[in-house]
Amino acid sequence: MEELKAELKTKIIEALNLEEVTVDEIEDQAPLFGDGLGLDSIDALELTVLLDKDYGIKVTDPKIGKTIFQSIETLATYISENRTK
Amino acid sequence: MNKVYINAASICVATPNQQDATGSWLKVDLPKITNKLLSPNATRRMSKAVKMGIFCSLEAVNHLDAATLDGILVGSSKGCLIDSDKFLQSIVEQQEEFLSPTPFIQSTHNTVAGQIALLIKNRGYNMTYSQGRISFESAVLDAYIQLKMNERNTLLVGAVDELSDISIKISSALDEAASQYKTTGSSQSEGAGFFVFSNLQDQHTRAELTDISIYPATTKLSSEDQVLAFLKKNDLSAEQIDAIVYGSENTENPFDTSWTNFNKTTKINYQLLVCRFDTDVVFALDLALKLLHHQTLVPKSSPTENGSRSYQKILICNFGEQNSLMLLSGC
Amino acid sequence: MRNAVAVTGMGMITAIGDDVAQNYHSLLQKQHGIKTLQHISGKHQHQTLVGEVAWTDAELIEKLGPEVPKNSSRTSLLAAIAAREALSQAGITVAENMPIILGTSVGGMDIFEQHFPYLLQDSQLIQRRDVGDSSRVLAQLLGSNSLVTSISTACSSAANAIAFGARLILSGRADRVLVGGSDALSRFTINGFDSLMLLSNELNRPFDANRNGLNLGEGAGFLVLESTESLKKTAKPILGYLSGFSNANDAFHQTSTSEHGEGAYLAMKQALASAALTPRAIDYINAHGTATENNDRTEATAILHLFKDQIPPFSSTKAYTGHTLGASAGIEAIYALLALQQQLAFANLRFENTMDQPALKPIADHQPTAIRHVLSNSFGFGGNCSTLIFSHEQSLY
Repeated sequence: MEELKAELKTKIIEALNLEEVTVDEIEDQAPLFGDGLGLDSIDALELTVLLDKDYGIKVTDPKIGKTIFQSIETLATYISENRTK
Repeated sequence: MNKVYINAASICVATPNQQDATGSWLKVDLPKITNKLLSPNATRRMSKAVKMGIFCSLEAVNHLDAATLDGILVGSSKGCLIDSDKFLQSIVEQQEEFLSPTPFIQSTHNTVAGQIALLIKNRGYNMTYSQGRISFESAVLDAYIQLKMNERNTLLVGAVDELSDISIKISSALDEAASQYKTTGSSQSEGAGFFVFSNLQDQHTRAELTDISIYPATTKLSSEDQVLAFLKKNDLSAEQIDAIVYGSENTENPFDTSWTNFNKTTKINYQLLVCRFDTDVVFALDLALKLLHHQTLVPKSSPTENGSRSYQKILICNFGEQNSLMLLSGC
Repeated sequence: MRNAVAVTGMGMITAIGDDVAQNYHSLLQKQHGIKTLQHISGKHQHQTLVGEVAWTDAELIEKLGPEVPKNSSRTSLLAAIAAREALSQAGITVAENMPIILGTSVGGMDIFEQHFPYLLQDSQLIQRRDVGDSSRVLAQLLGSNSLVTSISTACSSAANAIAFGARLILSGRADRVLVGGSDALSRFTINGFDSLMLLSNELNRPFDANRNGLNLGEGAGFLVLESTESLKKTAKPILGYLSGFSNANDAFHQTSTSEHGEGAYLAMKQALASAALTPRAIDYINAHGTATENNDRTEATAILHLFKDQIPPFSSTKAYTGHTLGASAGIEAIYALLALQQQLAFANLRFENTMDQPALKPIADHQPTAIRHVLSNSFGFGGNCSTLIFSHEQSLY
């Protein structure tokens, strides 16, 4: 799980072009959207692509996306339970 | 009828002396945008075109009360080429699977005008023109009409064109296309220029835009006759024009053949002074504004104070498939 | 009375018809044109629902004649067909002394992308991508000798082209203009909207509580606008008047509209002001109504905000044509003019369930009604919001 979280942080920084953010700065529990990392709706779409491409998980309902994308913690949990690759 | 003034200018271009020995494609060295409005989070998705546009816009509106800006007009020949190429390439390489939406969102031509509006929270007029070398002049014409007719008072008008590696690769490989670009010596490049146009004169006013015209080159009149007709419409004769700042789509120098009426007029080919891009006429406008201000092409430390003003009326000519004329008068 | 802008010609091609008459017939019959994609190969072919013009490029070229330049974009072909119909109705054979303003989102992307991996073999195709190339080809086909330019403000492009044309007339710079929009479907835009998760895999349902996205479409719609001053010399029939236009920016987000549809509200309000009309004067709204969750909710919010308890009949005709992007405002301007001519507000196809917040209902069926003024909305990415108002009479101008 810790490995997956670290992997996710690296991938998120790359996919979302978070140039000035380091892996260490992203806390597992911190909100990804709003106050935390300050991500927005376009980032949510990028995360959806990432889930599909790298873990074989299709998120079609934006409402489900909202609960999964709360934090690194929720994202990692969902991936470990649902991944197909 | 109102008069139309240019109250601020900012450009971002590459000049030929920056050119390295090998490159016939020259990218603009973008100054770091230092503005409190721009967090790293805000710039992370911005392509070069957007960054150049924002850099110049923020400079141009610097002394302006943001509330007085009635809108933003942008001209761009190729639009947001980098993101457009990036998205096309991902479609091909990934066979339409797992496409990242960001480059698509940023690929639309109106991205630059939209991002500027978003950044300075401008809910006013927002417009993007795209018509090759007259993209900027199309925007200027729209602004000019609105300011003349008192529809709006102050508008930010600019142009931007960026280079993309993929497009350079395609074009470089084509002798024909390459020759289309490599013409009068200077490199094919990229750049931007933004100007504040207003029907209100203020202490920053740089010049009056007396008139503008865009017309196809394929009409029966010679280019000189068309210029004379344009001047006549403004109650001016050839002798009253102190300088012509010109550029063209191709290598032909329009003054080589005839133009007998303008023998004594100072003529400046602006494309020898700037690395070319489709909307490089923004450089010509900036140059003309400097000429009106400094009264010389080689500015001294301080502008001529008492000397006679030899440059009062400057005509900017952009020759191509469609020609454009912009007449500036000193204020 | 100041100079005004009259419409003397209309021309169009969409998924529901090759000309204005066919489009009107399809609207009357409630016949939509949304089917699976045929002409573009790849992942979306035979899968994704679109409002595609039935003709292939080769068939369009055959209709237009041998003077069509090699490898012309589909955008320019559709534009030329619509433009010729508009000119013909206005009794104009050659587009002399007539500025041409084209609104388009992606220009020649359709032809460019077909050759994208192999472009090195054909230089001409590089320029075909430029938005300005589609208008250049159009102007060449129409024999233009005046200003030609293009506007690319995403889905509001054609509305802005129409408004700029009107300004050229009102400022005395032109007596007549050819204005409108054209956009061909392309792999680029289909995949782009797919990546944004905005495409519905069902027939789109504008303003329905169960809407789940848009269907893209393609087509072109052009108008001939003329100065009423110059028309005094002729007995040309006038189809309606462009009495108001506006352009505002939402300044909220690159792709979403603000919660209260601030840009949409400003655009409608300013268009009314430019026409010197109050909200009560509007008898029908041809809404932008893309059938995305975000657009329809915010547009309805803005309509409610502006029209309060006097909401005129409104509908989105994108249920028939799909969302034709840069062309949509040109196509819908013609539907607005048809509504004026026929005194008929068009049904919002497939509407069943009322949205909540706001609980506004489009008209589910055709509604014959007295129509003096029609308002047509077009909003786009980048926050671009534009509104046009067409009127039956010049008197209120």
